[in-house]
Amino acid sequence: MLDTLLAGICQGLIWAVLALGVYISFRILNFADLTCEGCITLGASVSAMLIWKEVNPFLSVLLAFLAGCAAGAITGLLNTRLKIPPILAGILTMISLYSINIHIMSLATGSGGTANLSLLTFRSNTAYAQVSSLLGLGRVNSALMFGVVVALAVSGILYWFFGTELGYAIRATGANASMCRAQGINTDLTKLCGLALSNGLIATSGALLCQYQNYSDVNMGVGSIIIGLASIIIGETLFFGFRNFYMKLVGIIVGAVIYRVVVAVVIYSGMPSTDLKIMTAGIVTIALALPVIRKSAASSRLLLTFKNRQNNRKARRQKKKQARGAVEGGRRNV
Amino acid sequence: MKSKSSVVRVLLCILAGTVLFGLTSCGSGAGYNIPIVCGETNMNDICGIATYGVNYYNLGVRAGDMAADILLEGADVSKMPVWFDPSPALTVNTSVADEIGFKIPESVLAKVTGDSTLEVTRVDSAIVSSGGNFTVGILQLVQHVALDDSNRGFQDQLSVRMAAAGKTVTILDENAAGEQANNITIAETFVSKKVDLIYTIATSSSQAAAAATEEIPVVFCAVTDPVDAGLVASMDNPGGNVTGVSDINPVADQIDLIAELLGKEDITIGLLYTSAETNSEFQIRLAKQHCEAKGYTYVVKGINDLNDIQNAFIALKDVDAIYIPTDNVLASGAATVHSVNIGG
Repeated sequence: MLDTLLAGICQGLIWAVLALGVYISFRILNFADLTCEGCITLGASVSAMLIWKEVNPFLSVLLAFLAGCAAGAITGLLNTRLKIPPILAGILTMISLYSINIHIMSLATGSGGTANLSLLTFRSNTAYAQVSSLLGLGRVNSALMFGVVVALAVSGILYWFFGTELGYAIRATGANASMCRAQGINTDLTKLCGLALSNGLIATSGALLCQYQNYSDVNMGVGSIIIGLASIIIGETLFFGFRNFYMKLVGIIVGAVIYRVVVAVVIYSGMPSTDLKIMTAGIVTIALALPVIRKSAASSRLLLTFKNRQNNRKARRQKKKQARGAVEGGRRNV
Repeated sequence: MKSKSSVVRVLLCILAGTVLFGLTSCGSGAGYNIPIVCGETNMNDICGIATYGVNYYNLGVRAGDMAADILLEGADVSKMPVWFDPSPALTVNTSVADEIGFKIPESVLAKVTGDSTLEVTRVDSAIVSSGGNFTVGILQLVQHVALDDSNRGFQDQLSVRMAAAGKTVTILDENAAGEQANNITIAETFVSKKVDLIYTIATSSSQAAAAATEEIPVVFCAVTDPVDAGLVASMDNPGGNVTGVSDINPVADQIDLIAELLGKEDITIGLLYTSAETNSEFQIRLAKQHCEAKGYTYVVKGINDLNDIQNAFIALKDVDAIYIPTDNVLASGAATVHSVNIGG
């Protein structure tokens, strides 16, 4: 059982990188980007192809990140330059990536139409194998260490990035694009940067996944957007009270880990395999419904505690003050 | 002014409609009526005239035998050659042959035998829900007729062998439901449950199991080219903990069957496949090699999706026969292939 949990956490940490990417597009930028399903395979294909060409596996992850950035930028250009709606722009990039991924994998084998690229013959040259031999630990334990380091590094870098001027501009674009433009921010550029970063992370996740499972397959992205969204929702529900941006990122990592652990436990429990999909849907539904359930539970308490009431009053007062401040500020600007 | 432009527009529409109607009626009226030989039986039933088809139930039975050898007799996996069906049974489809006006020669009809499916009677008492002498994990990629058959065949044969040896087996039957993220999760669950053997169905599931363990024996099924997939070092000498059954169809025999059907050696064969599929690419390579060896002329036509079928037929209209390998896209569009062929 413990092994199953550890293996689930391992995979969760890989999917956490994808979930962080999806978080940037869906939540921070408020852009329903479906490039994800093609982009995760893009990362896997690039990484697998480079390992076939005997490139360092860690470097291959970095190059996969850049390839993902390019894919994201194309979605961004389709949306900002050609004014194609977000969902359609993402779908267009996603379907074209299907062909591109096959071409990338064909580069490794030299014969056209390679839809599945195996790393089993290169299994000692994956990032996971190298970490494992470096630490002298087993496959799952070393992957766990590596996964934690990667997840912390990625979330740390994101926290720093979204604290920079460009990062703030991206967050502001998602919150209120018209207001941003009024402040002189080029929202097309911020959208482009956000989408590139988002898809770069998704491709990174794909690269790690393919090195972990030792193969890249053109259909491996199917269902990945659901895993990403479910992870975000679970994370947000669990880390509901935190206002700190870093804790939000940590929440998403935890959400992805929980999602994969639950799937692993469901499989471990020996549930009939035909029910796997409905179980997955069930987990997501529960996560989605949690805020509503909590709200109704809270409102059903007839007597609010004194402290709560006091807090509410304080909040209301603060809001009034803010509103007054804003109005006065506006007058001053005028 | 306004009414004039709208009249012009209506006239243009009528013109365009007439041209389109003319084009489509041209296309549908003609029909190509080219004899087609497919790589597998299911597709042959819809659009082919005859083929040597792999039976997935039989492949599963064979994999079950391999698993029993490993579990009961301690056979060395690394030296167990990958098995494939060297002479699958011949099936003919007379209704399609009649529709396209093709007469299947008596010499071919004489070779047809009855149902080739092996008869294995499952011994239910040998399969227990928990606490058997052995535990076997089954990892299947997706629910699909052929793959389900190879799962059933495996379980049936394993139960027979276990019963004969007086042992019981616990089977953990898992299906990734087409979501590849579940492949590795299921494989690692089997490893943590310390199963005695993992049976995998389809390429990516087999790769995930091979990635998850280097100790537990893995027996695969429904993998067309296990060497390319990195599962085994070579067909005769796997050299690791993985071996199994390949579902490669006898491409050379199928090409020869075309010559036999046409009753002549001087033929031109159209090779039709989906360019994005590894398995098809591999079979087309074999087909080309065989055509060159036998001196048949061939025309290769790769399609991207089902919308290209009409164009493919236009390109292949002069060939004597068309060969379609085991190809997922074309198999799913077998009905379209047939209707284009007969001009329906």
